[in-house]
Amino acid sequence: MKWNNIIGVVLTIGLFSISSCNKDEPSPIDDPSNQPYVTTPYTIDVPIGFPDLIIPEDNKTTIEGVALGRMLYYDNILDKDSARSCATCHIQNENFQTDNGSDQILSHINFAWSNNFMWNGGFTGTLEEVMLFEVEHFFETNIARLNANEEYKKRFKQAFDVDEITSKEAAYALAQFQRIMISSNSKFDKYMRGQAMLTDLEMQGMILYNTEEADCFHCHGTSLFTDNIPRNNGLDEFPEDGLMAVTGIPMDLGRFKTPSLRNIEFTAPYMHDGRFQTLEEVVDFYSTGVHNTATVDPLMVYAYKGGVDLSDDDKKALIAFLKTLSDTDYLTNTELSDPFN
Amino acid sequence: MKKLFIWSLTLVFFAGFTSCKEDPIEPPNEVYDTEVNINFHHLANGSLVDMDTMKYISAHGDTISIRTIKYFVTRLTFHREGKSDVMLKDMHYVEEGLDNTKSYLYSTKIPSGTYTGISFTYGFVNEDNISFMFGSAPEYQMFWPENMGGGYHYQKIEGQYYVNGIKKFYNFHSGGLDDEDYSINIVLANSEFTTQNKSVLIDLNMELMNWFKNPVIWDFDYFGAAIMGNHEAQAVIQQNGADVFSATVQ
Repeated sequence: MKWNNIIGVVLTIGLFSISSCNKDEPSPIDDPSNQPYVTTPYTIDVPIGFPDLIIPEDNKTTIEGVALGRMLYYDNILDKDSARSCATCHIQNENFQTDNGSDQILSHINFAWSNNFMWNGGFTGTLEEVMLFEVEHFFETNIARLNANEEYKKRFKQAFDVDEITSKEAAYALAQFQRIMISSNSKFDKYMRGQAMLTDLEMQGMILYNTEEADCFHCHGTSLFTDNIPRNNGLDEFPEDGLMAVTGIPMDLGRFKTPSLRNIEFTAPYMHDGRFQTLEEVVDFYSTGVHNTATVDPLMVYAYKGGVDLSDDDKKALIAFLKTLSDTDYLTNTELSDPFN
Repeated sequence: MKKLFIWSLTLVFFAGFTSCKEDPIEPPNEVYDTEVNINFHHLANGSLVDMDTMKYISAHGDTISIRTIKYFVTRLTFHREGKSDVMLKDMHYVEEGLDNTKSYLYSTKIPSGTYTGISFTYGFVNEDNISFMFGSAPEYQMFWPENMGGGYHYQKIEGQYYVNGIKKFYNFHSGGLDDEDYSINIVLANSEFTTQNKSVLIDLNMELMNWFKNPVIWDFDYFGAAIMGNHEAQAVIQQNGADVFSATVQ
């Protein structure tokens, strides 16, 4: 055996011994608090025809983040008085809204593509920003209570690798959950995917909707069925302030957020103040009840004569089409349901 | 038979060879080093428009206001003497009130040199007008319904007009209707220039009142407020658009 070989064998044995010794020592990885931070990516399938989904670099969607956001959404712990959660007003089988009298609740639906929140357009920004607003100003969350909760401590650690929970992580988790609240399985969606046929009446309604005859599409267009822009649709001769209360600009008088019409069948009463009880009343309003005031949106082109003046047959067709936007899967989707029940 | 086979092979070989010759790959012999900036200005009677002000008189005599100006500029093309045109592929959306759309640096450059003029497409030629090609707002919201041909609005100009003492709204929207291409090829007068310091700045002016005259006097009440499905109205907009734009280039 040459010297070279002897040295090689000795070194190998030596290294093996060192390695064996290390194995017997307690590894820092065995301590749960030192587990490496690993999250599982949550892939959101963007439905065909929907806009691009913008996900911020610092809040990638993860299984852990979504699960945590879902818990927070349904847990009164966010509320400083422990009296309510998001789900108190945003009830799943009511399309994540509820009838709240003259101060209607906006549906949480496809908010992943919204940057304009609140009826009066009082908040613009990202989901993360609006959720931070909810945590800090709407719920006035006592963050100490979250930090005192071992289950949440563990889950925030898993989702965001933090030992001390702050409002930011709570908001980010809620934003992740909101981002998966996607409705895209209505009869209309199936029709667009070639999986369903519309009836003649529904088809007639769709054409009315998408031409300037009923002219719904300009404001309630695209796959989202909203452009998210606050507008004055001519509800009143003397409108409420709307966006003007936020901006102070006179031309913003009476402007309220254009809501999505997805699942409109399940969200009565209608308008920001819940003044209309049925879709028939809503269509009647757009047909003959529009007020031609100074700040009415120019897209209400027939405001000067009270509206689009639809025939009874056209109204029925339009409502038939609106009901094709109903997505009952969204109301029962177990990924979005109360995790505590 | 053997001869025929050999001839066939020869023909196929030469056919292939000829095809290659017909589609040569030109070596890049020019340096694209000059950036293109463009600023958009919206004028009424030669001055910056006062939005939402009922003070403008159309050629037809209607008092009007303007509340919305949104449109697309595509196929910005630079023409040269004795050389091929240079066309930039960016499809740019402009909206009055959105300042970040009113000043734009094109994503590609042009070669330095002397140019005889500039042209562009107002809206989209049919070939470019593809449904769902924009994935985000505000471009996404300019969609043109599929049942009217699909793609996107070329423009949305909106406001109010007085007729017989009644204030009415108008939606001066244009687009490709039922596959009919109503885009406008705008050739800018006096737009020749020579590049300097590897940068060119185009100040593009839209004279809004020109939409409503020359060659056709636009009668708001005749065409009505909603004209998207009206081929006659779309054709008039296309004709009237020819002299709506002017530019200074430096």
